[in-house]
Amino acid sequence: MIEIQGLCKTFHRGTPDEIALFKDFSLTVASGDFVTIIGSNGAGKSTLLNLIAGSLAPESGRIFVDGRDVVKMPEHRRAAFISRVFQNPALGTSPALTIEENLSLAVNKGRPFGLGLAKDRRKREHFRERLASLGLGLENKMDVKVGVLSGGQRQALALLMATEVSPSLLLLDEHTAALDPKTANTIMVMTRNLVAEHHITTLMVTHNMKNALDYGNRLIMLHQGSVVVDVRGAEKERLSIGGLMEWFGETSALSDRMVLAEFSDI
Amino acid sequence: MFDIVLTAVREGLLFGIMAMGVFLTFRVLNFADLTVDGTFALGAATYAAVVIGGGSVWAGVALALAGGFVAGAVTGLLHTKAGITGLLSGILTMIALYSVNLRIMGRPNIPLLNTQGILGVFQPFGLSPNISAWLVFLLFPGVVLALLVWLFHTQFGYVLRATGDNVQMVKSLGVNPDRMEVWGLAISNALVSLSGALVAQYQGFADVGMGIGTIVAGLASVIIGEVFVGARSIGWLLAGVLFGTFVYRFSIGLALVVGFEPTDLKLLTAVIVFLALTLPAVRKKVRLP
Repeated sequence: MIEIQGLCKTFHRGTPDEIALFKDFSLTVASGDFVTIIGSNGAGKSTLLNLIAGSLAPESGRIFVDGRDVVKMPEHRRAAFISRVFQNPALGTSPALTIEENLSLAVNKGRPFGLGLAKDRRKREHFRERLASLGLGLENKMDVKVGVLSGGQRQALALLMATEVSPSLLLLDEHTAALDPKTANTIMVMTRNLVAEHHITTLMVTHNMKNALDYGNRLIMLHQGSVVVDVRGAEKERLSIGGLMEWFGETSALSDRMVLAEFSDI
Repeated sequence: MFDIVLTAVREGLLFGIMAMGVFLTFRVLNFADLTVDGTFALGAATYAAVVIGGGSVWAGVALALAGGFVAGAVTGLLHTKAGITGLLSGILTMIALYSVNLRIMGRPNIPLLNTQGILGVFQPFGLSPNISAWLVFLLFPGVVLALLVWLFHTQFGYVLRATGDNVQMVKSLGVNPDRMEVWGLAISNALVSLSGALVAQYQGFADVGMGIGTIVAGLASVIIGEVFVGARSIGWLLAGVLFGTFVYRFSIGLALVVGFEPTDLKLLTAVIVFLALTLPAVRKKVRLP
């Protein structure tokens, strides 16, 4: 369960460009919810994820993840129970290490990294199975350096690594935006399966309205740091892209990227 | 000729420990650490001061290691906690060490000529001074190489390697990347300092200026080694660093034989590093094998 209370975040404080993005922002997400977050550029989607993950600090407000107040925790501490997949596939994996080496780090996430040997035959079998379940043939490339993999392969691996130790919260920051449509679709299906398998509470920021509708059980639209649309369950099922576009029109928050996303048939 | 090769082997092994330290910061952490110019002399100064003060050679070596470790950690803290750029952090520690080294030695130069020191540690077992020295030449780099290979295969070592190429991922693992960097710099400089101690005994004196150019010589060794072994496992890369140090020392020895003055060596070193850095790119351009 995620509880955000009274969150305030201002950019360029004390300059003429000052923007108070979040003013007393609150949001509650139930355990196991898969929330898709949409909104125009500058609506605060990525900032929200950055505040939760700890790469940005708010002026005030509290963020509880499963009862723990995380606002004062440094980013690497929160990472023990908050996983994140970035838009840039390079951020989730270490290019100098092999697939197996990357995975052996991921299974130890949040625990001390000591002087025991990192590789282990039994773990290798486990990784092989996990990789095979992705259906990308990565199980045959376990000794290949991640730096030579394609963006889609790296993102698939990053996703697997982010969920290998089941987190309290998974943050997906436009994690398919840098991929070609076919690969993006593969990654989305993979995301749905992994999230369902581990029952992970998930926040997914996306510019792709179709994805926002097709995935998750709750949809939030942000505009200028506020939740302007919040639909869930059956009501979300009934939503159409047309309906969403109407809302966007009302908030005059339509951006070119969203129009493109609507017409790119995935 | 055989003499030049033999000298290059000896020096390659002793300076190779320093080059493996440089490999750790430059290649693994992706950090150009200039502290080493100070820590190389620090190791020599500490060892020499302990030995002429009547202490045991092992105490000298241990204190050299510890001193280098602390100096490296200082550079790491300047970079991560004080937010000073990496290059400048190293320069600050290096320049501070110059004064520290003079304090430790009490004078700019300490001769170690009338003692076998650490090179003689196997003589009590009935070995000749020459054999004992050779055992030391082989043992120290061998143990360092083995320990580093082991370290790079531990969980800690994996995170260290990830720190150099993806800080964000290290954070994602729940690890503080700043701490990893401090560890890496400390271990690296401990090795450079150890190398300085052994070289001081080998050449028969510790001198406050003997660290000048250490970083460039280390880089030369690392890069030449890579030219020979290419992209392989970490164990091969480290062995390549030792071999690269040998090649570097050999070319220096050769330069002296063909008539260069010892004072020309720094210029030659810079040229060697320049060639080693640019050759791979040139080779790619003209598509030579």
